[in-house]
Amino acid sequence: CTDGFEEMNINPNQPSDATSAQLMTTAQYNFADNIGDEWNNGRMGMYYSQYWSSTYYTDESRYLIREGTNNAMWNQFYQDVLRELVEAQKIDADKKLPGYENRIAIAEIFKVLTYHYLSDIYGGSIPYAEALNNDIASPVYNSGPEIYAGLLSTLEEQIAALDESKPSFTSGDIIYGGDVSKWKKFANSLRLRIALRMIDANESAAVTAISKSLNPANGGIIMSNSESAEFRWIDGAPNNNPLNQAFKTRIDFSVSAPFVDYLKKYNDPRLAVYADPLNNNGTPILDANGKLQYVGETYGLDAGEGNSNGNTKVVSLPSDYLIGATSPTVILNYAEVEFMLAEIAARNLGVSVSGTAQEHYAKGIKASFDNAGLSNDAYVQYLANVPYVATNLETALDAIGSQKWIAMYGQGIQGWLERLRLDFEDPYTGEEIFALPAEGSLDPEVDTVPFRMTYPLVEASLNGENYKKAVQAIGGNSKGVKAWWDVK
Amino acid sequence: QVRTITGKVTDASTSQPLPGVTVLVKGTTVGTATGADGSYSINAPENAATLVFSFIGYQTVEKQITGNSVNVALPINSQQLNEVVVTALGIQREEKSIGYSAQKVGGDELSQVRETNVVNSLSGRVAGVQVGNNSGAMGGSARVTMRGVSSIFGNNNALFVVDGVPIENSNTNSTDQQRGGGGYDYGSAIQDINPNDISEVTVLKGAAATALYGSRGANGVIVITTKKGTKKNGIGVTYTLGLTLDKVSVLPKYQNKYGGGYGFTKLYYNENPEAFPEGRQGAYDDGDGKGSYDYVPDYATDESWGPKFEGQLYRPYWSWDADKNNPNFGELAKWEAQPDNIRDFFETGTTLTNSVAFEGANDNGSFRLSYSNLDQDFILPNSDLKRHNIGFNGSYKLTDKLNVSASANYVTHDAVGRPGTGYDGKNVMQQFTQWGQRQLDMDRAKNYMLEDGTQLTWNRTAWDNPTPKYTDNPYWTRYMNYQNDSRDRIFGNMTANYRFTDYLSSELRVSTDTYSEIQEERTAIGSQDIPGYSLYKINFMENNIQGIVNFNKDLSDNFSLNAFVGANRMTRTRGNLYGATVDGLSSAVYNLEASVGRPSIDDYKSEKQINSIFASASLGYNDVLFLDLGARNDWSSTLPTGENSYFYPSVSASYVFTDLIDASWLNMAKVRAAVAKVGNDTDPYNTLLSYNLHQPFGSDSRVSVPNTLPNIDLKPEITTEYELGTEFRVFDDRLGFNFSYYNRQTENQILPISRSAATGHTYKYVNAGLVENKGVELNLYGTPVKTNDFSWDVNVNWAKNKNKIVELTDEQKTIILANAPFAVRLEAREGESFGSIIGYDYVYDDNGNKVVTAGGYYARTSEQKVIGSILPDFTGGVTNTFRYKGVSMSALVDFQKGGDFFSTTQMWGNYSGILEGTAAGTIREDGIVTDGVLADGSQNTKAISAGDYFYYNGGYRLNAADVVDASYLYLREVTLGYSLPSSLVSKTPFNNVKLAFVGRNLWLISSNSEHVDPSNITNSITNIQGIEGGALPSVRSYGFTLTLGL
Repeated sequence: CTDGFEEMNINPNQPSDATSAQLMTTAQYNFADNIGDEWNNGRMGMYYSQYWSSTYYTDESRYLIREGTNNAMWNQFYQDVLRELVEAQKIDADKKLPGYENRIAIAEIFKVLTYHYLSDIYGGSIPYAEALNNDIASPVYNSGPEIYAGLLSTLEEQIAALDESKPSFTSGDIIYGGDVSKWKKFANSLRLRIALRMIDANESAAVTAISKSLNPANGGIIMSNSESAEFRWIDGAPNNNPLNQAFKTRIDFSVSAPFVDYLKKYNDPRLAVYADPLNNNGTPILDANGKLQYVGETYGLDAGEGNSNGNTKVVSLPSDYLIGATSPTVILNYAEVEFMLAEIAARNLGVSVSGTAQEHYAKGIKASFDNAGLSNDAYVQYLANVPYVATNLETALDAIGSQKWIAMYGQGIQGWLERLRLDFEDPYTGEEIFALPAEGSLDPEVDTVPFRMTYPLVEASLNGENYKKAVQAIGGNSKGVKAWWDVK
Repeated sequence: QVRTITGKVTDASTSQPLPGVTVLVKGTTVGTATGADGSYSINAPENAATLVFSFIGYQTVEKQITGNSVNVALPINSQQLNEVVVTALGIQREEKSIGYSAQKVGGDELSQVRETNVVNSLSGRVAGVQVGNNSGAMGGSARVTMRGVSSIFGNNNALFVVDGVPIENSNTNSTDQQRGGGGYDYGSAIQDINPNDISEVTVLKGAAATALYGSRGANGVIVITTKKGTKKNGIGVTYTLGLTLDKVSVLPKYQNKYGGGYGFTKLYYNENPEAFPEGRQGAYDDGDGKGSYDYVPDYATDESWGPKFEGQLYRPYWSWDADKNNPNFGELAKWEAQPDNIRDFFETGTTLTNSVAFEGANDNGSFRLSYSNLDQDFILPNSDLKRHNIGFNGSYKLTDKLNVSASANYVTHDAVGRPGTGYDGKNVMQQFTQWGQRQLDMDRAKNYMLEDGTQLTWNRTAWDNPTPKYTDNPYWTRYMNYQNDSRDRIFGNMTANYRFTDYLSSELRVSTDTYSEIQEERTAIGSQDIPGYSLYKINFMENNIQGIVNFNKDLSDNFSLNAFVGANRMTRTRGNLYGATVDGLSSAVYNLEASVGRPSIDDYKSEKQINSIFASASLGYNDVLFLDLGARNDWSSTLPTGENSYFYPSVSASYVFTDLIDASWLNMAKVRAAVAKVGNDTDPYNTLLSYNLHQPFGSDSRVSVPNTLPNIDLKPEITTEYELGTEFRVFDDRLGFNFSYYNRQTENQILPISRSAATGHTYKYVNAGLVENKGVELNLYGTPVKTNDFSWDVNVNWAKNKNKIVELTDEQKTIILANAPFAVRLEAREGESFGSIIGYDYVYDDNGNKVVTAGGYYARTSEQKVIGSILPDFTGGVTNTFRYKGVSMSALVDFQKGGDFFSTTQMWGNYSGILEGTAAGTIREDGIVTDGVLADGSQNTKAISAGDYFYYNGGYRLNAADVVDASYLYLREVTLGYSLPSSLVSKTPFNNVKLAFVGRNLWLISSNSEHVDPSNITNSITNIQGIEGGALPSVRSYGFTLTLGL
């Protein structure tokens, strides 16, 4: 009665076999989309870092989120990035084709990157050790410190496992094309980012990790723009930059007033790269002196209270620097590494850094100018306006933080997290750089900027017990709860 | 050897002759119909013993043939339940002998009503049959469920079987469409059935009644019998003409005091002289030295918090674009209310139906051939549907023992411009009710394009930039961004019946149902959205081969046995091809070749087979006690080897105890009981892992792990149902009732259970849970008044179902069914009923008052909770029928109590200042106080602005605010029928003339929903219900049907 049934039920539409390269492409693509799109980057990261303002529908900039997009972000990290990486590793471990060790290690490093984003966005505790196991329906939430310890030890193992003499990805690795030494540099640089994020909470562990990254024997760190980790989108949907796609139908974002005003304050030529001037259907509207005008949008207006509604005659929109079809989504770039080195030097952590904080500060700005396609002259001129201030660690961090913020324009999520950690101000005047939402916060738990993203509502339904414990441990599922590393 | 029998048929109460009565020689297909004077003539075989006289609305009478003349007076039948009913697999049984509930609806009732989709006309006619529809969607989905929702993820729709052919009725709407997110409603494929071909419909509700249909029958079966040829007095031609007019009925209540945006901007002549026409400067001058100016509204703001309508002169959106030769450049208009603008957008729809049927019969066979066409112009601009049905039924007796028959139906339709549904720009209701400006003048809006092809929309980006900001001109949406679809379908069967002896026979039936469908959607260049085109091709085929051996014999004087064994093989194949342009269109042509980027493609095929054997035995004792046994075993290709065979038995019994009670007023009394199991499989390819393919990234190919984890350990699911019932008829059949209680438990359901994404998958296929549906169904009918000329019949249907998800799995207690476009989500939670609406609720104090925050608006709960359930408490309908001589009038009122839905229309319509409540009194000027108490228990007195009020207290933030009670009481239908008296008919060339007037969806008598017709929000036939994303207006229809017989 059942002849041929088994064969009949094999899906003819989809392959039963895949390669780790195919899955790695998907993981990188989904990761870049998740941290770079108009929802998580545009309406969360770019708002919370105040690079952008909303042109009209301002809820998210006033901290009322759409639960659906928050849920989608969480889901995409786990099931569309981490799941693909786990599967890629499983295929490599099963088939053991040449280069599998390197491929497994690269996937593992990418998992560290992803977990780090997840843990920091949600304020520490997330499912980690028990996550992504088909046999565990309710994975426990590990605490932030546990996860950081795990991420650092994983990085250490994987850096050791990477072997330049062996093959790696021959296709599928969009970020580094399977270049093992670049992955090592990336891993070391990522370790710096993780270590610095926790430096106020656990300095000794941070210092240990930093010194490992800075030890050349471990493969070095990213030292040029060409070594930056970027996902380079290509022309044509669905492979173009997701912000580019979003701007095709709606203009929901403009460059924010705090950002524009700060760039203007010190005459930063990057403003003309980052933002479009006022214009009338593409024809620039010049000011009385015949100059291009850049106007930021007031952050956090209520709808109908003078919003630009994307009108290019009254507000500057983001330029193709971020929203071009092939504009890359930055994952970790050289400029950030230089600012991290500057901070390490400034903090006097007792690890050996070649060069002074001031030198690295300048190199960070130079890397950013190079990236923006600006001339050396422009850089020299600008540096004079924003000298490194080493009066004390606080002013040093204000200088480093503010310049890092400008250099990381576009990396909304990391920009937000660094804003939280460094709490920097104008290093020269001590003035606030950031603005409160003009019409106030819509979330009673938070007025300045959210300290974390709330867990998706469905977690309470789907992983209730563990969710409850985690919420209890961090002190409530509120945006007002500070992450464990945000202690200053 | 034949003999001719003649006679006359009259109405028993009026003694008037009855034309059109079917006269059949019992046990044969030999038949005729009475002529205008009620007389007939039939050539009966020599051995013929009995004639059967049947006519809709009258009791069927059997008369012994005594001599060559048989006259009959037919009594009117207030209810038609006392007869033969069609049961599973088309087997006809005496109603009293069955141990489960079966309810019948006559074909005339359905064809008179003239719904485009015949399913809609079942609403309220059968106890416990719940019909969800969306009359605002031309030929849209109609969801039919019985006895609650058993399957959490699977199909809960009743199975339709036409002359033994199971009719495919699956949903092709996108998931986004189902959850109210937007998309077109392509309707359910059951609408391909031609109402005019239906002879009768029998609704089999319980598992005991349907188990022989296998798993697909688990949700109830609607058995449709089509008309067969009978020998006619005339030449056997019937022509039917139907015309229906459709008008918009229930629309949201709009405010008519304030216009769009937030305020006027002054555009000064001195600053922008190019914005003014030659010879005119600004309309206003404040005398402040800045010169004259025109008022310019906020075109780009799609809300209505703007200036009060006071007749101010302003520059409408169509008064710009001098550079594009706009003839209206520079004109001013009055800022004034347009109270009927939305209603004016809709047109009067017309549906014209022409049907003609030819039929005939002789001693050896019969045939019926029908053709019908439907031409519908719907209420929206540029929307029409054309459908053609050809049906054939024929049978022929090749030998005394061998009879062959065939039934074939061909249906084709072409639809253009179905309404967009849900929260989407393609649904004009989005800009009318959710995001729009109230001052829109629809006459002006008809001009949607400038000379050079640029779109002219009220939602322009700025006065000097006509690019649509969020929304297209509604006429552009209808005329430029329309869809079209077509389907060609053939279904039918060939049957051979061989009688070995008078008690042993066999039947072989081959049936098929196949269609190919094309759906095309487009977004024109110049639209707000990225221009594009998509093409969806669907090919479906299901074949069944079924053999049955039947044994039917009186075993003794007391015992009768009717038994059969059979086998069936079902194969079903699907092939879908979807292509969509990416990144825009290179030319204004709707073809995938015009795609700017590599088009996206989804290519899907599937195959499934179920082999079955089944057996049934019905044992009768003395015509008072009946016992039915049934059993079926299925083997399904979709289940894992080793688990793909499942057996399910059923047993039912009925006891007719009329004679036990010595009461002259008692005409019939019966009790019945049944218990049955029904097994079910799953869809293809849910057991083994395969990877999703994605568009390559440059030269790098991409695959991903599916988000639903397959499961190689799946087992078949089993539904068990108990049913008890009783039926009584008393007082000369003037009063009767039919009552059923059932308890249905579905175990081991195969479903994708939700998981935390942290596991790496958001769904996993499992056998889960226990879903319980228990309830009662009541059908009460009676004839309160009956005189010679006049009768009044009442028929009441009422059903109550209680659904509970008793258990899911050990590891998971909830399943996420869908996320609404913005606010809430739909879950199936253990311990709750199916379809819980989850969201933020009000905070109540100990006295039950709503708590207001210090800010002056309602507090909301810190966590989300169950704030509504989509399932109703009870449903039903009442039909009153009055007959006076040849005139009959009938009115159907149907109702639903309880059940909730989440209204996106209400949420955004309040948020954006479009709905009536947002302009009540002087709240826009003076603010409004939220009614509730502060934390200290004192009454809140703080006034907040109307904008804040509707924002903070609205469903976007406080989801419970827009959970709406779906109860309704509806005057669903009124029909007026008139059969021309024979004295008049005889003066015409016809032998039968009938005229019927019908009104549908006439009056929403009572509802707690302020803006949306709660009986009109079904997006699709799937389980995702209760999310109203942008309801279409409901449609009131009036029409008539004229039937002419030759």
